[in-house]
Amino acid sequence: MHSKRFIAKPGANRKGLGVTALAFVFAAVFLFPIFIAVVNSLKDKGEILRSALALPARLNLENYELVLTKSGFLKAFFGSCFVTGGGIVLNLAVSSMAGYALARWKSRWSAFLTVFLLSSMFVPFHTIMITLLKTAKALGLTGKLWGLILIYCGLQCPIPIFLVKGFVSTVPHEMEEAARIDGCGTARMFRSIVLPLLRPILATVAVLNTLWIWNDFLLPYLILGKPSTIPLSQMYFYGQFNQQWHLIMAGFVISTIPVVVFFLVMQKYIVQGISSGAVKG
Amino acid sequence: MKSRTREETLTYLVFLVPAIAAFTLFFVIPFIQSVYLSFTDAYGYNQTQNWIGFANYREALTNPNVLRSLRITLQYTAFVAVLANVVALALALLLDDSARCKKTLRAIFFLPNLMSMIIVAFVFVFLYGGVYRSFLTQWNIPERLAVSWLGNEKIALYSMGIAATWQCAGYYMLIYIAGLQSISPDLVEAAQIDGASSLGVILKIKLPLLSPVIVMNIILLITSGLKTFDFPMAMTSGGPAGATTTIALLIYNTGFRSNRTGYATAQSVILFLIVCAVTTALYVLQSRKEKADAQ
Repeated sequence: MHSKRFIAKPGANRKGLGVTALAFVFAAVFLFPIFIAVVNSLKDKGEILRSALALPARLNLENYELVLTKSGFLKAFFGSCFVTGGGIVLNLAVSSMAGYALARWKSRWSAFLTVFLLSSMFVPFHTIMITLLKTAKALGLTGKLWGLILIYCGLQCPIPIFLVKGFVSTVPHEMEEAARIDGCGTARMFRSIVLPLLRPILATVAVLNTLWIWNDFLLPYLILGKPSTIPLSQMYFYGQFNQQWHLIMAGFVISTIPVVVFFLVMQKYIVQGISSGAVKG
Repeated sequence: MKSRTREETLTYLVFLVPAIAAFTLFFVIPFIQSVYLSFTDAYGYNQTQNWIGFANYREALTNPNVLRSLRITLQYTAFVAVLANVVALALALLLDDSARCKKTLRAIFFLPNLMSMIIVAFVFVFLYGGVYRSFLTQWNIPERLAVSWLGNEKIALYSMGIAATWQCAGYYMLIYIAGLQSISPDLVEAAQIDGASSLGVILKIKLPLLSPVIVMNIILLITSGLKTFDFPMAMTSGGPAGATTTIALLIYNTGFRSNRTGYATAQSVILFLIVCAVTTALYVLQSRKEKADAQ
């Protein structure tokens, strides 16, 4: 076995180089749009008209300054942070309670509710969009960030509930029984015993939902109707500065920085989350 | 003992209330209302509407614009499902074993997936427009050979599909990488010892073992493709001449631009039924194949 590996190595190395080179060609293709965006975000309008492919003549950060002031970027950034953070925290709190209850509640209602929640995955958002907006208007939730948070909480709870339920079912009941004998009520036991166990699975859900809420367009567009989150502010900015690509590309770069930072910090959870979804099917 | 069970059940119910309440309020009720409205002549958000039976459905299924929109959506979905799958699989296979700098490359391929589709759409409008024109001038390519990526009715849909592939391939690549990692290295090694080439290993071992993952990615891509909205909305507004008006965008336009909410909900129920039918069919095929493989 040893000798075989030893002999195989030089060939594998050369092959490794070829594969790596090919992968880098793909990477260059993938990076090209981002490269174009960055390069043009540093030019002025005339330079882009002359050539969108050329490098900028000088390092020009005026576009960024203009985006930061004119697109209300900071306000939209904090709006996005608030909606995403609030949406995730509320959703996880509500879903982990419900998921736990469904796993432990010995009743046929439990199975029924689980199937009922999951069946919502078949329904495209566009099927409920018109009447959801009607409901939101009737409840006075439109135009309000916290209204959007409540709606996310309702729409996005089925999958976390299902994951939490599945996880709790694999945890032996004994620990909870022991705590109960020590005089612990269900609510307290949930907080001090079950919730810490759920931490890894909740982290995965949180990270994936963060990306989803942060980048979502249509629901905030319908509910808020003003540029209060980053995708909305960019949409309005695009309409306002039509064809001024130096500004739109600067907007793209600024809007992308927060998610890239988030990815670099949370990479492990993001990759894990997407991969584990694959194994589960 | 009895009172304890009752206390427990009560706690479970209390635990369930917030989630079920939010879910009912923002999903179940809108869904039921939507199905109801699809049988009425609802206009805008008027309070009154009349029951008109299947008239909206009859109109939708005979209206050339709706049928065209359904066809466009299917074409787009098929195109992206194939292209994104092939690209994602190729990337995953490249990163699977011998490449260097795997983590960096993986991050680069995943990067577009982090971005909002709306903003990605703007970048591609620029690429297909200004950047492409600069390319033509730089290489002195005559105007008659130029392609209007988003302005040509025959091409615009596929230009959009390429942008979508750029955006989503990294996500499906991660799923494929996970699938490839679950293949036993012994199996691959055994084949290599028997003299199989890398291509042979891919074709004879990796791809067959990966087939459930391939099917799953196809299902995911199809269900998201059928719901495509952000790209046509931001890139083309459904144009040129409706050539990129997907059914989701048509529902939006019918409901919010023409204010025909009853008719729009009927279209949206049709979309729901299509998603249901396609997903169920694919799952049935997959489980039947798994059963056949097990025997």
